[in-house]
Amino acid sequence: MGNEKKMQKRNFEQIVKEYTPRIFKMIYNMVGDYEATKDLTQDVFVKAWNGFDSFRGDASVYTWIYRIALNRVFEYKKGRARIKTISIDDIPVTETKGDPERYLLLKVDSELVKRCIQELPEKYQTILILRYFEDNDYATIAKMMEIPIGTVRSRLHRGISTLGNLIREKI
Amino acid sequence: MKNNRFDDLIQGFIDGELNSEDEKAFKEHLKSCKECQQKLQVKEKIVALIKDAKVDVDPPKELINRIIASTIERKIIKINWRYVAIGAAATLILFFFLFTYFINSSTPIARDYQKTRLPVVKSHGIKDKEITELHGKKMGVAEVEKEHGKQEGVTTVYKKPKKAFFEETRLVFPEEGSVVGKEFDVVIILKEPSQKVELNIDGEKRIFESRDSNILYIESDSLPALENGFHYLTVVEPTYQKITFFKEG
Repeated sequence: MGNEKKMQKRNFEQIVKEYTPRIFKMIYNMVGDYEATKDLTQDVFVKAWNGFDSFRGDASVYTWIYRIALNRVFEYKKGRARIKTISIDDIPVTETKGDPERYLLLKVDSELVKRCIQELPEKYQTILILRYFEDNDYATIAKMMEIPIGTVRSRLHRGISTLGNLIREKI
Repeated sequence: MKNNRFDDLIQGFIDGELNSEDEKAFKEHLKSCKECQQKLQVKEKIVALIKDAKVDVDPPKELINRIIASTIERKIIKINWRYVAIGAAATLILFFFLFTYFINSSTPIARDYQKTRLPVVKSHGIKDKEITELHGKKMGVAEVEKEHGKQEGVTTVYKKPKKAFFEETRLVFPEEGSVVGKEFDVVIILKEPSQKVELNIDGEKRIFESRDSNILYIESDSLPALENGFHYLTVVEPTYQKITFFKEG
């Protein structure tokens, strides 16, 4: 085995050890199924390993792996969506309605919020998770999702509003 | 109009993504704008709910090992086509030899005779050299007539063909009996199909039936064990038949 290959293997092993817990958490929060998350996480790294030779390093490894993970999750969700009957795509994206005071006083169960996040349209769900679960800044999210920073901000804004409406409908 | 500008800034303010100038302006505005205060409160509440909803789940311990096993430690079996080619060639050679062996063994070949014109040699006397080939096999043909109780005999000596383990076979027929070597098959061509033929083989009378064909094929393997390396064979019935002797090889 050549030195380069050995080095590559060592590097990748390091990446696996460092990023598996984070990728696992992110996928779990998007998917909500522990067994599926295990398989999806593995898929992500297998894809990453298969493309490791072509990884040019113009994005950080972190961004690169997350992008692969996001794509894999979207792919998985598309497959699931075919058998899913609930869709909240029809929920209008508007400013938070109703009495904000009442809303603020309500104690909202985090399980409900989690379910609502998972029911969000993909673009809002992803952006909320990347921002508030993974604590990424706008620039990183923009790179991961390959969208302008302005779009990151507007999607966050709309995502929060949509989620707010969804929660209020359920409580 | 004034508020629209600050609406846009609320999100950035929550996320700490405003530049210092916008942040300063927004904070100033917030002091006097009830609407923006309320909007900010609601948004912050939702963001807090989102953050609370985060599940801090750890992957199972074996997952990292599983991933490593399925990536950097995965063995890729590369097919060495050279070995495949050698294997295929060896198999072909083996099949060739097996095929040749079966063709050359005492496997019945009589089924082919119907399609083949047998070179018949009318022999009334000693015919040592009348050896022809059929399907690559050495063959001698004798036609024997038995009339009015008088038998005419044929003695043929077959030279050893290519195959080993066979030196010479002497056929003495019919007065002393026909001598058929171990490696010979006997083909009796009858005038009519489905005839019964009674042969005296090494002193024992046996009846053979040609079934639908006028060819009776007797494999040497079906003959009794040899004592002296030869069979003595005499046709008892019917009185007229052609007899062909085959030597495999």
